[in-house]
Amino acid sequence: MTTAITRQDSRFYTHQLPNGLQLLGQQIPGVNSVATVFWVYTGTRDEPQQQLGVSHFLEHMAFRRTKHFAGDQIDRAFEEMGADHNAATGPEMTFYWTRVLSENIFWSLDVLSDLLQPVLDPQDFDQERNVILEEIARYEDLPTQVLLDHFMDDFFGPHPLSGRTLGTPDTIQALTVEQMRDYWSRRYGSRNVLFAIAGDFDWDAIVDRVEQLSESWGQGETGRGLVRAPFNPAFEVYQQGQFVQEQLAVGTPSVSRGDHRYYVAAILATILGDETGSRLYWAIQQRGLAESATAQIMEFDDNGVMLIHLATEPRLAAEALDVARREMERLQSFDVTPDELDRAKAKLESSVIIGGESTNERVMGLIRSWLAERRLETLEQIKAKIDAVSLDDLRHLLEEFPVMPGQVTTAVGPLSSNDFQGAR
Amino acid sequence: METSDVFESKLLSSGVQVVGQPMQGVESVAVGFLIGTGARDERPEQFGVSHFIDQMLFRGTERHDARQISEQFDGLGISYDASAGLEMTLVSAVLLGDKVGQAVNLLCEVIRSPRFPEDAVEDVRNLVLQELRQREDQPGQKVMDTLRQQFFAGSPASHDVLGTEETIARLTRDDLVQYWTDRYTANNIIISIAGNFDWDQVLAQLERTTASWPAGRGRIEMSEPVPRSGITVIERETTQEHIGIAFPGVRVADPQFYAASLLVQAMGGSSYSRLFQEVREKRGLAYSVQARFDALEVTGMFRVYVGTSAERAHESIEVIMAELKKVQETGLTEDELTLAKTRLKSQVVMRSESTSSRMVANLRSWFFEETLRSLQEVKDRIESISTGDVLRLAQTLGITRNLAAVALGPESEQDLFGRVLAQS
Repeated sequence: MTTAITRQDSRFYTHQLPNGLQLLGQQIPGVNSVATVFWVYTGTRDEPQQQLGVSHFLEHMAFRRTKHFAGDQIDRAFEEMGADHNAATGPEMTFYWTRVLSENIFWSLDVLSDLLQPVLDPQDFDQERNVILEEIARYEDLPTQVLLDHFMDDFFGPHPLSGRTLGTPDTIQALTVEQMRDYWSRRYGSRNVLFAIAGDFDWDAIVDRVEQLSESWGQGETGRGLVRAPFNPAFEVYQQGQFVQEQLAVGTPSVSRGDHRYYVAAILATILGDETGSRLYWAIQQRGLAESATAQIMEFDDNGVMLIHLATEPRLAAEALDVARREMERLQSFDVTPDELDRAKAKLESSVIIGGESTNERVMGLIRSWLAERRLETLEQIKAKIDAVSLDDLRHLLEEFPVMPGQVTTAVGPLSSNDFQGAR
Repeated sequence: METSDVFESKLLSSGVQVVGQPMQGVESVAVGFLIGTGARDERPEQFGVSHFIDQMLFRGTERHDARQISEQFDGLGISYDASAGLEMTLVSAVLLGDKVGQAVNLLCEVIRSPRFPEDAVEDVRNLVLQELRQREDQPGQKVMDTLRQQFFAGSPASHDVLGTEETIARLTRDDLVQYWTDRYTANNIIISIAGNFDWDQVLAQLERTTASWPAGRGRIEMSEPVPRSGITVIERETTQEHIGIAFPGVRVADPQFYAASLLVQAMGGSSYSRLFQEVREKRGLAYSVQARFDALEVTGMFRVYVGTSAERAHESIEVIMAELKKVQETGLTEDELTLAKTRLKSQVVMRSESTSSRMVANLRSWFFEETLRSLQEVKDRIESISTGDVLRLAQTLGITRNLAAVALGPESEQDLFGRVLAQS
């Protein structure tokens, strides 16, 4: 079927406002929706150690009261415009997003931008503290979250990337609204914010509106201390008898964000541990040795991790881990075939194009491009990059970032460290 | 995109029903095969057989072994999935339009000629047993599943998709083959295609490919269950108390289906909803509180979930109960209804931009009502609901008379529910 114009026939825009705020846009033909994101370059790694969790708590406070809106007015406005909306905090960012029908874009911008100007009322603060404590409690009941927290500790040690996004009950109890206000005024300046939009919109009008809306914002500070964390192989077991299954994370260093070999690393992770058709899939998941056996790349400004996750039964955990290590050994000794590489490329390329049809995914894609490259890439350019990856590229990357012999392994579940004695 | 609501439908000579929606401006196409069978059709000794089979389909066919099948899908960049639910089994793929012919052939092959290799049966058995145990580590999921099982106890609607440890341990290859032979037949299959494809071409291909499929019987009739009220408490050493409350809903084809959808939207579908405002925003009792409405072929169910620490659990339940009582007595305000309509309509339009969402929406629509609905028709139906409709619905359902609750956590039944449910 031939179509005159498709979502791939997009137009891309970038613009920096005089106050330093960077704008990115992709106009996608044929859609009715528009997705927008305000991305603040601040997260857990930027927090003073005693104030662990302040970024995430601040993200919650944004919905409590802003310069122009009370909390229920914010909730109501998003409801009135029929918006999907939310916010998230991570080690390196805090972002606020909406997806609306394009007729509501300006209204959505008014409210979304105001979330970056919270009032931080002390009474709201005390009440929202309870919600944060409940969120921490909720995490403690989710084995994969518990695993990830421990793994980041084990992998990054004293590096700021090991910090827990939600904070701890102690840091949250101790945090004051003044500390939060100080953090906000340092980190939420216009120079430290990225705005991205994807879908159906008029670029010039968007630039004007965002410029007006951000006129009074402070400039704040930018940047963060970057350093690659030293790699110290380790094997840590956290026995938690309340869980039924055993969760394992196995990590080795990989490319950091902005490294031009990102797609080389992504292809390695696909070959080793994509959810279907990968080496771990055949050797572990398909044999019933683990319910889940996957690999992925986690990228940060100054670090990267090739992370393998296994969710398995306690009695099979040692065997599943052993098989996973053998697969990593096999990858390291390098027996990847041209067919295997081609299949991984076909999978990645097709997911880039299909994902490119969603305004939500595209808006995040713009941000990824900008963070990694300081420019926007079309889907065709991304495809070409994937296509260019060779077996030699894979081999060279493994030489620089070996997956064997040293790894950081973290286990959470009913097993004790004695149960892993043979595996250490 | 709203103008591109072009539907096609055709009953093939084999008895297979095909529905299609060519969409402008996209490169992707989503293809889904719905087999009209799921946990509700299983006899007690077979519990879990539908899901067991969905895991076997890709493990080898008469022509290809598991690896060859997977390599074909991957090589073409086709992502695929198979999952059995309570009422239906869905086998689907998302791909670029130029591969649609190959994708259709591959899906037909795995659905109609699986080989059920003996060794794969053992692997899948281990995998499903692990899934059952994994759920014990997902308290929210565990509570919601247990709630449905309790609410519909004695009816096929109570069956657990995963089966039980006992049935999964005992199912044999013969059991699987027999169930598959009986249920995976032309009269019980609907195929849906949405996105970038040529209807006439795909239809001709399907007519040829399915010609030899046995007609078989259609769906197994199910009578309307009588919901059971009651409380179940699963004492567990979790950090939070996880609580689910259910009350009756309506079936998919019910004229009040959209009244029910709007009711749940206003009660617990967003941050402006009554439960979110009362439980989280005003009182800080919980991080996670939500309501959902699930409509089945012959019945339906509302479920409310809250996860909160032990000392706030009782109060959370009281607040939720007060809100349920209130909505039963007075329904929704004009204002709330208008907001819920805006939100629901906006979601319908935004979701329709995705080929997968359209494919699934059309499958469900045909499965439950033998019709396809345009976005305009759906929007008109939502618009036609009045506050009177919602109030009548809330009263007819007898919310507070027909409640069931499940709690998982450290607290006892007395401490959690005390006289709360009885008082209402």
